[in-house]
Amino acid sequence: MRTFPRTIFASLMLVLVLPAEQVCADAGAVRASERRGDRQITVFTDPTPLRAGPVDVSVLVQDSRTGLVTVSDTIHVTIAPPGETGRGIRRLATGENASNKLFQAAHLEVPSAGWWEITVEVKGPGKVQTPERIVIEVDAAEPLPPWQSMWIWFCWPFAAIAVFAVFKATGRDPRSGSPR
Amino acid sequence: MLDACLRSWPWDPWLLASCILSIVVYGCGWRHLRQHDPARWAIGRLISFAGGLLAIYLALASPIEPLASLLLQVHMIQHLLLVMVAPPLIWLAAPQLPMLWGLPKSLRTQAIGPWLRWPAVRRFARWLVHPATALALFILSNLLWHVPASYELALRSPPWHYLQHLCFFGTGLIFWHPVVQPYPSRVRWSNWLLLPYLLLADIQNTVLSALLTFSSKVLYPYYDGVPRLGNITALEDQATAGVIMWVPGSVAFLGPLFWIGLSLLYGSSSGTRRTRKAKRARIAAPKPLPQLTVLQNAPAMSSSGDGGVLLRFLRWRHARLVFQVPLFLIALFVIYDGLMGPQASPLNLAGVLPWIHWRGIVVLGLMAAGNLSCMACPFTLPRKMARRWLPQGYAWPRPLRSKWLAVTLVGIFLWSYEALALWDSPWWTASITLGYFGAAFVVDGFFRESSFCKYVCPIGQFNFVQSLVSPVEVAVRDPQICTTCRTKDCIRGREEIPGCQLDLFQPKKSGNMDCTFCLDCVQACPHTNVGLVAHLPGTQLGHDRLRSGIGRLSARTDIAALVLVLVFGAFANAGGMVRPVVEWQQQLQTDLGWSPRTIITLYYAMALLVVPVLAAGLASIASHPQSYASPGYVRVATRYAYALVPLGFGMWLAHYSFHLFTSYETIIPTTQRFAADAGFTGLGTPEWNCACCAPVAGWLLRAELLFLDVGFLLSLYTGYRMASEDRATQSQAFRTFLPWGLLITLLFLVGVWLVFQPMQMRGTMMMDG
Repeated sequence: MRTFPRTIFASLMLVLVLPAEQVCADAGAVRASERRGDRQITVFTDPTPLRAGPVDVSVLVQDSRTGLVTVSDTIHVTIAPPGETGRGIRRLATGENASNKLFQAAHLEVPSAGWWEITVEVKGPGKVQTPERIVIEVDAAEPLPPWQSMWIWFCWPFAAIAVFAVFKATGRDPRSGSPR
Repeated sequence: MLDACLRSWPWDPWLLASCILSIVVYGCGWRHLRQHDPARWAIGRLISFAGGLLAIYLALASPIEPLASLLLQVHMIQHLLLVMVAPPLIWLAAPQLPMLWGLPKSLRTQAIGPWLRWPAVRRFARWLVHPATALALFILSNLLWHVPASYELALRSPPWHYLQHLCFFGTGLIFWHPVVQPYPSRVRWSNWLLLPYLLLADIQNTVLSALLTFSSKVLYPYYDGVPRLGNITALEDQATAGVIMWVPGSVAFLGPLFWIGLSLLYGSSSGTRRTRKAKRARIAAPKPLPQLTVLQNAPAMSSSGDGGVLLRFLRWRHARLVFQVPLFLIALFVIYDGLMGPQASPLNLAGVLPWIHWRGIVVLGLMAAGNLSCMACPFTLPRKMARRWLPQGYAWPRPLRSKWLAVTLVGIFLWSYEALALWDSPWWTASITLGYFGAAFVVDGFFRESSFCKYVCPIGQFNFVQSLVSPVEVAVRDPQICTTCRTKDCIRGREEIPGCQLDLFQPKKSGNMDCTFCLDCVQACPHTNVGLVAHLPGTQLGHDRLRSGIGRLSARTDIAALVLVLVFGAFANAGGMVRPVVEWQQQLQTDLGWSPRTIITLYYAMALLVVPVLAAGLASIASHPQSYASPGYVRVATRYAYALVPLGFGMWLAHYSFHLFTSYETIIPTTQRFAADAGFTGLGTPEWNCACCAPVAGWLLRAELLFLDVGFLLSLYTGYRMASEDRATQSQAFRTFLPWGLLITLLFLVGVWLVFQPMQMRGTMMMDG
């Protein structure tokens, strides 16, 4: 009976942990870093290389003189086909979406492989002027079939079987420890 | 900026769960060992272990982790925590014995113990922690990972970054083992060897850090490309990283070096103190010191007193009602809404609750504990009324006293789910639920001994079979007490409390087959000796001893048939919803001109009848060479069919948890709609966007594969154990097992294929945006 809570605890931990999603982006690759007015704006995309499907766009805004980070700007990220700037999927980049709170990140869906235009608009707090805009073109590759990125999740049992086979091949009984 | 940095805690549930689980297991083992030897297992050990885990957590899931990709100096701190701080702290806690003692006994003795006793593992471990090997690995890992090409690779690729951290932490553990020499390891070399050992390690550390500190160019171009925080140049950052590696690194090596040197020259005063303390403690608590060899066969930590809050609750006469009454009320709502509400499944409680939530929760409950579904079954609630009003004096007809009726009903249920699209018809769902209440009422009103649960209920049969791999069963806690018991109340009953209605005599019961977790035996036992007992999942499947109420599993062809229908049904049920199978069915309809229902009937006839019989038959023939004394093909097939249960359960778990986690929010607007229709607007207007299926998250796919993986390995192991039990030699056992192993592998690969296919999101709304 005393062992019961431990087993249950382990199982519950598994059940509780599995649904937890790692939603936050961790920057990824630098796509552009440009000085706009008194700001240095750096745009990151993840995954690397960029593929069709879910994409994180993270933006780091710094004071260009001091290098200090600004997190109070309003940032919008838009993804659209080339030449249709600002007419695609538009998302607000927020600190909540980023694991590194120095960044502001937006989760977007690149609909298909090919060239896409990512527009980042940065607007300072309470300012009426036109937002700073950075436009970058990215080439999204075909999405990887899920099994290619998850092969380890269904192949590891075969490694375990191989270890067990070696264990048995040494001629030891796993329970008694005596040679068979 | 500082505030933003401090708020940057990456959410890593796997790491957090691993740390919590480790400290809980260590804590349990440490507490037990401390009772025997409080001096050796001082509180400092526990603090040290927690400190080691905290260092790992801080390195990987604190603001250090996100900042490491922008600043090399922070990355250096991260590596120092993994190499210099966490490993020695963990070894100072002497974790081997506490971690073993903290595990459940069955896991310790049946799974971990044999591996630890395996000579090859022991030889390998000794070789690994020998100072020469440990130093070579440590230096090699440090040098290789600081080569610009490999460091760059780690910075740009998450999998390589994980590998880098794993190498640093792993070699850190290996390196610090000879220095700390944690109890109960034995030193096989002179401690004087540790002086050059630590000195050489410090020299390599000095060389590397000097290279970083004094280099005139940026060694890792990655840091040249990232934004520079606070205008720190990449070169300044690199030099600071070098200093961090140099100074604290050298302190970590030279501190122990001087300590060991002084101890060797003048003797260890702390050692004398420890001996005195130990002597005092032994006088105070003269219990024997646990030996490593004793751990293998040590009894489980015995239960004491009245068994705690859980057992007290389970023994409460109305414990089951706590679960049954809420489910009964929900069932009434489902019936009402299914019959009277809108006939679109995403809008109706009957279209959402049973097919998305209840099924998912049932399989998760079976995985985490046991047959909680039968324990909370609302259909048996009216049974008491039935017994009061109806005669209940008849015995269940002898020809029906097997699982064949249940096998047929399970098959019909699986077929009708697809052929009649039960999931898409709230009216049908409500009618079946109502029919269930009626059937339970009538069967249990006329027949004795829970005949409905044992012989009829298809849901019950599903739960019985799947709970064979659950980690918990209702069982006796101390078999010795049962040998002296004369009243046998667990089967006969006592006063108002009935004994087991399903003929399961607790001392002879093994596994969860036919056990509804009704708690009657728990409450009837006057010795408080029946309760929920944990064991390793699947261990009850392997043996073929007589089981109370069941007999030998190898002689129960009906139960084996039930198992085969449920295992192959798991794959057929999931297969019927994936795009390639649906397209193939549509193609057949076009080509042959048959109706969809005929195609589905053919599909299920193949999946539940033809394929299982062929697969089990062929495997049985192949594993049954005439040279062995075997009881016949059917008996062999019956025996080994049970090995498929864990894999089948893995498939059900993967499938149902997929629907639960992608569509769980559907309950919100449906409940709001139901409440509003009933005149209660307090829950607000329905948020119908919640009724759409969520995108399939990466973690869910990984979890599904994990369920299949564990089922696959458990099935293989169960099959191998059966063969080992049946055959005299290992080679005979292997040949007997091989065909079944191949069948299990084939089914596993089918399951993996299914998991990666696009699946219909039934019971949800499809909306744009």
